[in-house]
Amino acid sequence: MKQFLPILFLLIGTSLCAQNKYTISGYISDGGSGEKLIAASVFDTLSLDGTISNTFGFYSITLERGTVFLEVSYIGHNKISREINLIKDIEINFDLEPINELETIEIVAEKQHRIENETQMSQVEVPIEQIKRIPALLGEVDVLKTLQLLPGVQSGGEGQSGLYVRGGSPDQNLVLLDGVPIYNVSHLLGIFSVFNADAIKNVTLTKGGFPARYGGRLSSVLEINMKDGHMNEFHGQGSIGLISSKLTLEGPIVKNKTSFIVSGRRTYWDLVFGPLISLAARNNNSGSTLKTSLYFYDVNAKINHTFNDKHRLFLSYYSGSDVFGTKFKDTYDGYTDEFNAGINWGNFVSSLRWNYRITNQLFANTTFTFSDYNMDIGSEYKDNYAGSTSSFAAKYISGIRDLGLKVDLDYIPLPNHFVRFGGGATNHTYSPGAITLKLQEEDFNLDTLLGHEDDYSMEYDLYIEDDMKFGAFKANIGLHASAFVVDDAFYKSIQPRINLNYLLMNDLAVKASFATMNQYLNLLTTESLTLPSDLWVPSTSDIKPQESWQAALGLAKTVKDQFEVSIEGYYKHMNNVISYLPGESFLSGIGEADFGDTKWESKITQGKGESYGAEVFLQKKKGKTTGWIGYTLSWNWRQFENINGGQKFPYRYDRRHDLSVVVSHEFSDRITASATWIYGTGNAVTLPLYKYQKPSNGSYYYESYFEGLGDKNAYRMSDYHRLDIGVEFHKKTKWGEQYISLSVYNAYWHNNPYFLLRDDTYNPLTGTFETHFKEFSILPIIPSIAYNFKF
Amino acid sequence: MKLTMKHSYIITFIFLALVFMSCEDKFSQVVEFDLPEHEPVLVSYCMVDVNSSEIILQLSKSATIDNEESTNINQADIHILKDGNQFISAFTQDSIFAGFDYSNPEKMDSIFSKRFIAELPSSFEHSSVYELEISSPGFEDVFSNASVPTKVEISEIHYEKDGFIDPEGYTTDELEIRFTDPGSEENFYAISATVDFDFGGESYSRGLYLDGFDPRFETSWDIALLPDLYNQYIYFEDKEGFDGKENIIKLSADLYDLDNENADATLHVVLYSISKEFFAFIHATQLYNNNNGNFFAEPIIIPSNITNGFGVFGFFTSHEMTIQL
Repeated sequence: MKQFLPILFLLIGTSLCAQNKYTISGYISDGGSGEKLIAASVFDTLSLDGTISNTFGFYSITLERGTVFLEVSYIGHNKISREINLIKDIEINFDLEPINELETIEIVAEKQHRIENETQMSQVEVPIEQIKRIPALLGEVDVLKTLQLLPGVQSGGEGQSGLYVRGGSPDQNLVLLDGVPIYNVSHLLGIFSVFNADAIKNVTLTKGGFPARYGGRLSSVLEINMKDGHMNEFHGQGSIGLISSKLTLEGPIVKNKTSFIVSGRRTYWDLVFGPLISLAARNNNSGSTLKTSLYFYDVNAKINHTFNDKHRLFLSYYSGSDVFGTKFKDTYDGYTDEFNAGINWGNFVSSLRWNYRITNQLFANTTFTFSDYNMDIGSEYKDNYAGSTSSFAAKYISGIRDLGLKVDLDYIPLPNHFVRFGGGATNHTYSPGAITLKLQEEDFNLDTLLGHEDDYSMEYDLYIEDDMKFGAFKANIGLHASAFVVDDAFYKSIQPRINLNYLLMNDLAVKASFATMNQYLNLLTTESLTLPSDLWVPSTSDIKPQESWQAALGLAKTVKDQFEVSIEGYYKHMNNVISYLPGESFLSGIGEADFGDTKWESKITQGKGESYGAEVFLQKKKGKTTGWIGYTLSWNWRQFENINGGQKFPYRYDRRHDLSVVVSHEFSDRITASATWIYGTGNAVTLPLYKYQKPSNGSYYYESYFEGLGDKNAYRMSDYHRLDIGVEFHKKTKWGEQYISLSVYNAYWHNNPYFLLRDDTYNPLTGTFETHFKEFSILPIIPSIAYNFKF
Repeated sequence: MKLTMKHSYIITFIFLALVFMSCEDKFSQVVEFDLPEHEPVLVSYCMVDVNSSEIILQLSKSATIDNEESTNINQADIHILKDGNQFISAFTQDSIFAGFDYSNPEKMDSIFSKRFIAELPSSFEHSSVYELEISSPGFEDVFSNASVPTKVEISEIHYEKDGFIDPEGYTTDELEIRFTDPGSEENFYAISATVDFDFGGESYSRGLYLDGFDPRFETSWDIALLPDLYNQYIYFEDKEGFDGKENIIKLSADLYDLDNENADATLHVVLYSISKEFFAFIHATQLYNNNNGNFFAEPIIIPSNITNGFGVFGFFTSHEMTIQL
């Protein structure tokens, strides 16, 4: 690898020796809102050289002196063509006018944007407008649930937002909101994600062939960029649904200089059903009161200010929280009893970004990031009699907090080189589970904290990558270096990253990629479900960082200008993946005194993971009917010394076949309909197969038999399949637009298994108990309706 | 077909009908798995107290998960060999209460385990390898072998009233135990303590509640294969910082129902040296019992050193020291 760097710089240097070249640079924006457009294409039809805009809409193209004919294009926008006599460096900003809102689906696949011309493989960008069309559970558009419909991406189970990408676990996904990592991406135990689609500009998921600028997770990078806010006019949109409502407002603070966007969402089951529950409690016992809280909210906000063509500042903010709670109070015969219990969790994320266009070929983005995730489970009991009060309160708290700084530079010396380099540092603070206890009685007081003190670590990274084009051959080659310091442990890693694309005849591209990744953070999670109590913990001297390498090979082609087809095969190997030891779970340690040096490290073990498979993706982006079909055939294994006798076993989410069909049809400019059908083989489970007596010496406090288990995850729950349908009725008004969304989740009500339990049923005919296994599902057919508006 | 607003009204009506239909309770279904037939195997527990005059072996058979028939074995041919030579073969039978069958809550049958008991012809030796062979009609023969762990003696014990302060700030009595780990081999230990005292003209014997407040120590109640019924044990292994040196262990001791002013109390502390297989078995059993019904816990497999069967065969030695309190 050390020999690689000089070669890279030599290539760049050689290319720079060309004379009589000038640079055209500037920004590409949406002509209406002023939003900067990401990956917009700038193409010279004469030299056939081109480039794309970066994350902040900046582009730079260096061409030969003379006449150039630029075509600037972006999905969903009208193209701009301009002839330029290039005799010096110039700056030109382009404002692309959007195509009509309802015609957004009719996307013209410009040649530069075609899948066979993209160097990056294993990456999907799903337009937000397409996400909003897909029928949604309870009418709540969900970014993560849409991503679960893509090949290579699975959900953990019914209603879960977690992403299992090419055999990885949810903690192996780097989820970035405006460049800041978010640690818990779920509301309501995974039924919804924390992302409000109305505040989002674009969503990009990378499943493999990771560019060098990303690091820290093994399995995927999910980059979500918020809208910047309309630069010229005030706009708003919102919806009122069965479970939640949301409102988004955006507009200029100073026209063409400063804009804002703020978007909020809240559920209101507690506001509707809470009073009914309280009334029922009072009716049963007039001395009782019962209050329940069950809601989540989130707020996205952003301000951006353009100082001049060189400097721009962005301040982004996200705050969201889930609240489950109950308060019960009972008064009788002079006694008053109060019992409160609840679980709360939430994220607070903020970033301050400074764009600096250093030269017309060099662009810098400096980002300060802050991310805080915390969770608490608590209960409190109070009683009062004749003025004497006693109380007991216990609360389990955990979380993770990051403070970071990173600098990213884009250097575009020539059309056939797009160089990115930079680095960053992040301070992580972990609170891996502590219990506060408060006991108050007449003559006794206790207020103490049990468990772990906070742990700290520093993570550093540097990277360099070059996106190169040489005729039919394209490559993105880079290097990511990282280091991690925690207590007495120091880890470092050099990770090569390669993406290759070769365009054969008939516009068929062969692609290949290889990437190694390191992950210094681990999520202690129960395999059966994602819970807010899952703990983020660092690698330590005892717990090694997770590592992976992944290779992929594929073909890509656009057929008849309408259909994008890709076929990819991949193999991923993971080391040091973690699992709870037998007998351990997230409950380990809760409620117990956690004294001395008891460590969470003693509850887990590390092992290997292996996944491989093939993905087929057929997507239609043009015409009145759009959508995609995604199919994945995959195998997914784990192996731990202390589990399953050290033998390899299928990962719980080993899903042999996964098929998604997504269709949207525009009947008229007022009515559109959509449907999705999903099929997947069942999750793997471990079953008890036999029993045998425990040893005895004449007395027994526990059940008398051990249950013997079969091989781990040797059996499968029933296959999962589901049909969702939706229809929208649009109507333009004087003030804007309104539309009704109707959708049905699980339209033919298939009982998709969520978990499996053993059920011993008494048979009166035989007088014996018969053992059966019962699958439980949680989500039946669920219709929903929502009123939406835009102004 | 071109959709019109009239169609939209029809669609909305159907939609509202679905709203009311969706209230039907239908959230589970029984599924059948092709479970492999379980061929019953012999289950044997035999932890030999080298200080005892007899050896006790508990024998039963495994069964399918929904089996309600007795799992006792009434006929078996049991041999213990010492370095390949016949050592013990004459076993008599009895039964012992083994709890209730919770798999059938309606009936809650009592379970009695069969035990096979033999007198020891001579003492067990640390340098020998002992083999257990069991055969029973209709079952594959089972085998196991084990060695006697090195006996480790307590060199000194101290008991101090109110001498231990736990991390919460509470004061309890302190039990200090000194012993030397021999090193050069893996050693596994268990400790229990009992107090004998007279009160109100009656004699009592109570097990002490011990806690090390130290992650190196684990606690277990009712280790069925150790002698002190109802006692709570501390168990640990030498690799947790005790290997090859003199060790001083300080434990919190709670005589929770003893009148502390009673002066005629005798403390018995026993240090068990147990075989590796037994240690692994205790640890797994403790985890299994603690997580019974915990849906979230990683499943536990109980280790076994019985070839072709389940259970554990091993030895323990013990050393007891007594002081007056």
